[in-house]
Amino acid sequence: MKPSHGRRNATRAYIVFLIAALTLMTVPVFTFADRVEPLVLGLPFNLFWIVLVEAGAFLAVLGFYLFEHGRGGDS
Amino acid sequence: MFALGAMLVYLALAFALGLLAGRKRSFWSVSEYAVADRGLGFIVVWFMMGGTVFSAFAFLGGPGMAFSEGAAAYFVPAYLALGILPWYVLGPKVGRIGARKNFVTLGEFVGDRYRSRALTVLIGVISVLAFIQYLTLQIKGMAFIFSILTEGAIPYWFGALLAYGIVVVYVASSGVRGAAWSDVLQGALMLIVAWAVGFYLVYTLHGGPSDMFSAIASERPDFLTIGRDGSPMSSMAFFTVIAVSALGFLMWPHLFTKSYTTTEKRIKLTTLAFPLFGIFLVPVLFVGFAGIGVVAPDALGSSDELLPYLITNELGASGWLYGLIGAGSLAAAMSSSDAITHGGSVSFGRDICGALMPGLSERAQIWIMRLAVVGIGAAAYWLSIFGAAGIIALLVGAYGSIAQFVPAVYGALIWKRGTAAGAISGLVVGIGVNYYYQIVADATPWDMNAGFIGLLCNIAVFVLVSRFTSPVDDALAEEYRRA
Repeated sequence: MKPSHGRRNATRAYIVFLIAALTLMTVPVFTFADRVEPLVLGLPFNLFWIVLVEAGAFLAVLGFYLFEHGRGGDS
Repeated sequence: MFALGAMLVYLALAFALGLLAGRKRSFWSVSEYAVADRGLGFIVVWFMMGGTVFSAFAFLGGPGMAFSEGAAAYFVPAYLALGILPWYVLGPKVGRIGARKNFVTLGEFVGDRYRSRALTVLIGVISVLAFIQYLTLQIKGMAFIFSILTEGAIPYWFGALLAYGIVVVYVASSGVRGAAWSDVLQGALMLIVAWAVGFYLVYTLHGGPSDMFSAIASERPDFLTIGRDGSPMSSMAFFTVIAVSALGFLMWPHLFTKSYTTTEKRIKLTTLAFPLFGIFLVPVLFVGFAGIGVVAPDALGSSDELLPYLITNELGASGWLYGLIGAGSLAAAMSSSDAITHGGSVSFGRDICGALMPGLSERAQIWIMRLAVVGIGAAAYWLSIFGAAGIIALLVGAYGSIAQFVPAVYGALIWKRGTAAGAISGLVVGIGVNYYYQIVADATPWDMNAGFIGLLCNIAVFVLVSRFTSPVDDALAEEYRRA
């Protein structure tokens, strides 16, 4: 079934985003961020990196949601 | 005494909320019991998913892992976010199909797509066994908290019975709504407690996170990294364990079936919260790092005992802190237990009994489910207090096998050609390989996660066997693919 009332659909882009999030938090990208120094906000750099990616993932999903559903209320 | 009082007040609140949630709802409807008539609100779904995922493991296991394995514990915030993110795409599809075909379980979803009742029963059996294992972990956690924080005044067996007994009663009477509403209370409580305790310990014991991490790094340079010579975990192990979680976490039937409980928009908004949940977990790991250099590793029976040990031995017995931590950890364990017990009862009633006895009336099914809550609860309670080595190996095997549902479920949504024979043989091979590397063998090739190897073999067999067996009706396969 196609999504109703011709709403915009970003499934493919979302899957690309998922793969990107996985590589950012594991191999290969995480490998480059995998060190203790410099400490950021009291966290070792690699732990800060994971927090940063998760903050980025939050914004990305928010972006997807607004793109697909606009600012309308809950249905 | 204060600690006991605080925990009892908390238990009474959770109990009342769980029972009240089911009032004025149809007691006899499977749809209401299993998926709240597909109408849960956003805040409730948010806490329900969060509370369910954030279990006793987060409170006891996460800190223990940080304490004994350092950077390997980074996998906790990572897998939590990545494990739920696919729900944004998966959830609405599953929810649409489920609403049209009136599904309430994962077994039904897969069984209908592949036209195989055997597959439904197989999934039901694995799910129930895995749920019992998951539950014994939570019950042990609850019993442990009670016994330590009341300094033995409440014995191990009674603490578990009290906390878990309450869960059994409100789940059996109020179904998913009972579990969901008590999770709102439990979720809020444990988030507050986790942060308060994490920061409190770091500042009292080490003067702040920077000082703490610098001290650890100068003492053991590779302890806080992944994949170096002295690191606690290799890059391959780190990647594969997170990859398995990212793919397989939603295959836990109690999470998967939440797709049926609400609307597409609410599923997407709930997914949005999980990267934040991952960040919320970081201070919980602080508890574990704070123990390094303070607690001698051989002072603990197992690393899971770190948090209670720190509280009793390093902070002095402060009553309010005891009570707060006791209530917070109980909340974490109970909010998972309720969803798991509920999920197990639905799988048992629908995937096993419903599939084997197709003529079962709705009223009979609902009775089976409510009785299964008590049955599964009693089995898990018995195992967690008395144990039984042979059964435990079986349960651990089932627990590790949940991710093996991935090819059948995702295959249903993307690949027309997948067949029942392919799905069943893939599942059996995947479970066998996982079981071998998890329990029998000492090491895995290239240090890969056992579930990951199982999944690779599973996918290969699924594709190969499907190619050589005849596919289901084209219209049916298309319906799933285009959902």
